[in-house]
Amino acid sequence: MKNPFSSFKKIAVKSGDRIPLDRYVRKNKQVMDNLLTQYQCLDQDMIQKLCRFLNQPLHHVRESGFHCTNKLPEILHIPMARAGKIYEHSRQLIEHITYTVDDIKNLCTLTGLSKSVKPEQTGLTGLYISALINACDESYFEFDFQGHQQELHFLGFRLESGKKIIVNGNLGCFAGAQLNGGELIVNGTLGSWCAAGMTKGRIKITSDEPSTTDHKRQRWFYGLPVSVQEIVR
Amino acid sequence: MQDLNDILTNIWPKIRDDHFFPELPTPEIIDGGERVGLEIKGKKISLSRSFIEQMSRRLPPGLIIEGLLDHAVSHYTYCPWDFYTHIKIYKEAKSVLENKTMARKVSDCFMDVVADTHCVRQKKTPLPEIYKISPKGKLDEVVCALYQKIWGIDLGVDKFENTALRLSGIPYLDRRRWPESMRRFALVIKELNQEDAFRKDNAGKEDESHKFQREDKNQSSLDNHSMDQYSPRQIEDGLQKLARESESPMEFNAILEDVEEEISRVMQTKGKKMGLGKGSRLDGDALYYMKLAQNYALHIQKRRMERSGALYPYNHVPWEAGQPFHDIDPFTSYGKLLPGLTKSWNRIEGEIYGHETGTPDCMVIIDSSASMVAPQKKNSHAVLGAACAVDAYLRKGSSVAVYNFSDADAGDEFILNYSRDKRKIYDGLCRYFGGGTRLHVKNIQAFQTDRLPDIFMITDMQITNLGNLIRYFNECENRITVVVIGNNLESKQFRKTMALQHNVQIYGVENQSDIPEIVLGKIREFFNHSR
Repeated sequence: MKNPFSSFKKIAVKSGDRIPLDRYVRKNKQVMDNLLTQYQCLDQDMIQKLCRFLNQPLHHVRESGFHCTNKLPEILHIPMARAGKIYEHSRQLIEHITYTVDDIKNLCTLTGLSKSVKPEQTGLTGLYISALINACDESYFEFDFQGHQQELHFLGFRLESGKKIIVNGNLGCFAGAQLNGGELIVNGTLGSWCAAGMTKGRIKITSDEPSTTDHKRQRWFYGLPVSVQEIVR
Repeated sequence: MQDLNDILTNIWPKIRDDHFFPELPTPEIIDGGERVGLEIKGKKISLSRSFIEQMSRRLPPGLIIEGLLDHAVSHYTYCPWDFYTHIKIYKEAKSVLENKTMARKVSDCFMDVVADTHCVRQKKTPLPEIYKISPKGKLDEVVCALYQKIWGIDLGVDKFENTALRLSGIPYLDRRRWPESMRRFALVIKELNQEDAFRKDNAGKEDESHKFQREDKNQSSLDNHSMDQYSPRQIEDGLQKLARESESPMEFNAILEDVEEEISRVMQTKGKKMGLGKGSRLDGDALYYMKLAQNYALHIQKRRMERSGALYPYNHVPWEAGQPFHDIDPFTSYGKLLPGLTKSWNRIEGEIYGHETGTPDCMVIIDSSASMVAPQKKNSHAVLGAACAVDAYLRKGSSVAVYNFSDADAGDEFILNYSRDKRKIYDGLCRYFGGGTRLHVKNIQAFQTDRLPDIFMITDMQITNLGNLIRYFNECENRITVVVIGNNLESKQFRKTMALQHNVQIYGVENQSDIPEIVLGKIREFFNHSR
């Protein structure tokens, strides 16, 4: 009698990499996992407090009398100190990780596209990314944030001399805060507290001039009038 | 040379075996199409004779056919798989590249990389051989450089080493991460394009987004990734999901406009309207609300019973002197005619399945004055709420009439009589006047029929002649559902006046995003009460 299952073949499951792609993806995943794990090691309590400050009603911004070219108002002293601590901690955490500019971009894409993640979880990725940028050997960084679900806050925090960031897309609050000699060029809109505590460097806004009244009012509200296209210190 | 059809007949069973027997009809070889190796339309794979003959100068035709079929079947079984995945991948490419042609080309390229890599990883395929000998444009060279890297096979490309290295870390075979992967892929290609434009800047200004397109237009490619390969059903499902994921009608429209021509072709050839008239443009806004409403399907109870008017014997009661004799039941009265002992029948009015066992028709009254959100610009939850109701009535086989008003005295009103034409109805709902708010009650009265249609109204109640409307609703016997947006003085007045009207149900909505949920639940409740 013929075995009805004779047509079935034994297939040995291949272990290991079938094509080099498997190796590249695994390596890339390892770096990303490392970066994300270290981000989760940051002081979550401090992050929550800073996120709460970012989520406060907008009229607080106007009441503080903040202007991008003036001195840091008192209301920002504590948030800036907290941001500084998170930044320092980030620098320590990433000290032993090897990564490239592409890894930083991939991290931005990963966090920027996630709809399901709460802003509290990714709200301060900008600080972490700023630490990654300053610790990286490269000096030129170009990011494309168009189509991202969430805006990055604190991008360009303490950006050092010789570093240049070009952003295509919109940024959140505290863009270029405590800028330290670096150059930040933004082709998009900016949130509130731009250039807060900036010591030296250059921030340039290359997007089209705001055409709508709403947008003009928003810029004035944030202490970044339409006439200001460049902040140099 | 052996006939190509014979080769195809011999190879096809092997391909089916290799790809775990996909549900595809036998492919065919067609004349023409020199620059595209294959086409897929409605699951049917067509291979180009001239392409195969051209390539067979350097490779046996059997291998070329096998490679092309591997490529086509991988697209069908792995990536993009369906219309929704295709459009989602394209959407990500468009958000980075902002140019339709470029986004189309790069997203097609990404899908090729995924399908081919899946194939190369799973089985022995002649695809690398074909890529090795095929003529290449700039983008093809980039892709071949990438293939060299991730497949570990030499394809004779010695350029774009850095770009290939950057592209090699993308998890092409992780289905869940395709949107993110597409974005990373597009970013690298965009930067490469910009670098190239920068280098060639001295040679004169040119539209950099068309660079790859122009350089590649004379090159052959394996397939054309047309959107008309999908079935109308897949397209409808895909658009429904796309509408759900889009933040605004504008975002939905931006994608729809790019693929409009191809999907209209499919829908028209299959005789489907999808709310779109034959030969007319797709109305993106109407389609957006139509598809979005399908995600919030309402359940409407049919009107079950109606009084027949006839009396029938229900139970026995003692007969009393003076009561008619014809109701006496002789069987339970033991043949006696004595008050108290004799039983007579108590008759009550019967309920029968009447003529109207279905859902009644519905007239939708929608306010499109300046105080309402313009449905073209933002997600108008008023239009969405009305669309949900319309969708429910149409699904139950009823007809819908639309009265869309702003300042009716100035001619800002749209009237559509009872109809089941989705296109006309949704066009009516999406019409936005943005003027004052005044309605003509006589135009609403004109919708009344003997079958008492349901009335569904969405407004913010800031109607200048609200008194007329209230008077009319007081006279109506129809079931009336009113959704009031916002909490203003007029809405309070309306609620107060209508409090005693049992046939009028009012739902206040503070936050417009609550409308679909509230309408869903309350309408069911409303209809259940009416049993």
